[in-house]
Amino acid sequence: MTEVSRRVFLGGLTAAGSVAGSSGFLLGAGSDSAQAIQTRYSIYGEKQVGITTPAQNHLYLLAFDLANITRSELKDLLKRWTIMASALMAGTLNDVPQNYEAPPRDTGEALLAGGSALTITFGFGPSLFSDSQGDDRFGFASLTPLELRQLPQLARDAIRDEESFGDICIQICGDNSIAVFHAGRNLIREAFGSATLRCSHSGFNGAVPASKALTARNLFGFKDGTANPMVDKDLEDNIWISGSVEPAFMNGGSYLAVRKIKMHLDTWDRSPLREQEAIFGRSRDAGAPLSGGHEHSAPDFAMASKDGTPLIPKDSHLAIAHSSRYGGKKMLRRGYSYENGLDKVGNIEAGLIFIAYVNSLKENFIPVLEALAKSDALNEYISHVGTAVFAIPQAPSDENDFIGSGLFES
Amino acid sequence: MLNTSKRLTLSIVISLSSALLLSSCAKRAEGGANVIELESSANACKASTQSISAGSVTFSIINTSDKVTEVYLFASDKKSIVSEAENIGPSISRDLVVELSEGAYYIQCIPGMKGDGFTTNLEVTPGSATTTGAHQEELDNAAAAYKEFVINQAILLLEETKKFATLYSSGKEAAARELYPRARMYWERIEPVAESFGDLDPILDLREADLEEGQTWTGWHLIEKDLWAPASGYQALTKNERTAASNMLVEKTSELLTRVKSLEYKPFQMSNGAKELLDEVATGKVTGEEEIWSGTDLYDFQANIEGAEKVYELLRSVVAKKDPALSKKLERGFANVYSLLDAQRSGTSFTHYSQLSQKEILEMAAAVDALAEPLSHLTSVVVG
Repeated sequence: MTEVSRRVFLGGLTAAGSVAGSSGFLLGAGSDSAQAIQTRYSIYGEKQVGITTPAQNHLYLLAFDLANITRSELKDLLKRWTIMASALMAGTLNDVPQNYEAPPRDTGEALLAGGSALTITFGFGPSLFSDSQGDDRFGFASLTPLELRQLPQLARDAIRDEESFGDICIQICGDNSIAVFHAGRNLIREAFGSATLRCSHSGFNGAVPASKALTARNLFGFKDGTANPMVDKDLEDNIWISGSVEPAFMNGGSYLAVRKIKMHLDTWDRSPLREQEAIFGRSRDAGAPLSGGHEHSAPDFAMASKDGTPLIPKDSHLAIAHSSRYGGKKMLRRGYSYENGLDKVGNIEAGLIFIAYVNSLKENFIPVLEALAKSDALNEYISHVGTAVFAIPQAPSDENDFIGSGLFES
Repeated sequence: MLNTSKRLTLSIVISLSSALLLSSCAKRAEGGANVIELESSANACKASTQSISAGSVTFSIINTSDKVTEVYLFASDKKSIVSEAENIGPSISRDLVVELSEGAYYIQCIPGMKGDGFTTNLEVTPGSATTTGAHQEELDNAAAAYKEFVINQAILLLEETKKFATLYSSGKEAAARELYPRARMYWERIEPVAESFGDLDPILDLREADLEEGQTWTGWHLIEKDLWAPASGYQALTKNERTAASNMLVEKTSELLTRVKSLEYKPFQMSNGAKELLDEVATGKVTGEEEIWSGTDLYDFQANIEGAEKVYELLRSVVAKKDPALSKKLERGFANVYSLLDAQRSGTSFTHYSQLSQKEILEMAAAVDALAEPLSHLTSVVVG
């Protein structure tokens, strides 16, 4: 499914990155250095890449609205996108004969970037199956994934339409920022006339190797996503859709939930460490639950403090979001921090592009979101400003196939 | 945007995963601070040194037992607690910063937080510190004065709330609109205290945007919307609903007064409260989100700042001695914010939020940040 290659990182240290499909992982962090990053993934297989792929350092998440196009024009767009995405991930978009009198196929800014561990993941929004008038635009209504509808409106939601929703999303991740931008730019260009960009989110992580042992920090300085599913059984139980309940094209697929969460850095930075740790329920630097141990130690919600209250406060982010409250249901979090200029009072507009993959929004995601909206101590320092859900179809099987081909089989 | 720092941070990650303790030691060496590594284990309380010079001392505590632990620092009488760190989980590290003067001290670690635990001695040799606890009396006086201030504000709040409730429920809308922002200023001056009552606060001060599905809306902002009703799509409250809303407001405010009468404050609660008042301004008032119907955000703004300034006034003599530079920054910060507010005030009336220009809003936000930043250091100066 993926090409194994040598991976170069940080100042000449090299490691043989053993990449093997959804269960593989890489050693070492990505690099933005001018050196070509050799890691290449393939778009073809059973499951899409960019989900259980070790999280790269950069994100460019695009949401498109389709123009008033026909079913066959949509099919053509998905075919063209698949071919281009495959070439982008292979780093071969420029490897075509170039007519000197025509604009180049490849815009060129990432020519030395190699594969850059690029993954391009496609998702279909509820409006692809049924538009705002409830019309079946492309004849897909009978193929609508069972749980594909926008998330409920919650207390304190400050959702901006212009940063939410979309007919189709493309999640681009990679270890080289210009390669990630380049991929998005070319995919947008390929869609001119068929789909227009509705919104885009650029995100970054860093500092932490995308291995299974360490977790990236959010802009509040805390580790987020520590309890991600780690073993294959967890992934099958929580992330991947299988069986015959969902339409066939969702077999090997998933659901993607996106929340753009503005974080109020100015007030947070003035809050005492004691309060910060009580809000997350973890020690900041080590990432351990306040009940003790290390980052991956199981939290002990019963361990009492001197006055008898739990060491991990009941309204802490950890206590409310922990899978033990949801019958062990988990989600795969793959979030990125963002920075987007200034807000209206001159503070940094920054936060988290929260990204979660689950095989059931109803069971693995919405209950957690609702509980957090209701009682999370963190709410004082964040606002949810963007929202979207997408159905993640199975991957195109090989070069004769294209993303979402199953939609056109009936 | 993270390119330059990546190399550095990766090396930190490597050292974290391979040698947690080592990296935390390395961090301290840079500061040149007076540091004692203190290990609370299952059967000992082990300090890296038994002698240190007077001044600001950091106890870098690690709990290596498998129980929740606590650490006390006693003066030579073995009875008066100089400082303490409680509720440290197994394997968790925590710093405790204390200003120590010359003398003999005892450190007690109590894994399990029951019984006598284990002790070790500490000798503090002459150094730069003032006498430990030198400001205690001043701080105690400040806390007592703050209690009086809060009670006084709550009494006035109740009086004004009663007047407001009468005006509103009897249909004197213009007068009610006039009093609304002025009465609320008593609430806003003591907002962190009022908000500490998790049951009363949502009943009295919940904004429509904070409602969750199915929650009943009560309090000041419900009435605000009714007095400054949106032009379309709004159903005015009936006479009975108005009476009920007014009664609820008076009843719960009266309960607030009863409760604050029995509250006591510690100096760090005062200083944290002052910081929270500035947070309120930054997230709710400067943005115009607090009073979206009445546009009276600047009244709240003014009152929040006055509440924070009161705290500073009471702690000023201590701050001026311990950190004169902070004192100066705070005084400049308050003066700066007040001058911007004064520019929007005529008599007892403030400009409607919607009349502020974007430039004025940005100036106010910047002035609030400039004051809030030093204010957030008040606690560490007062208790450090």
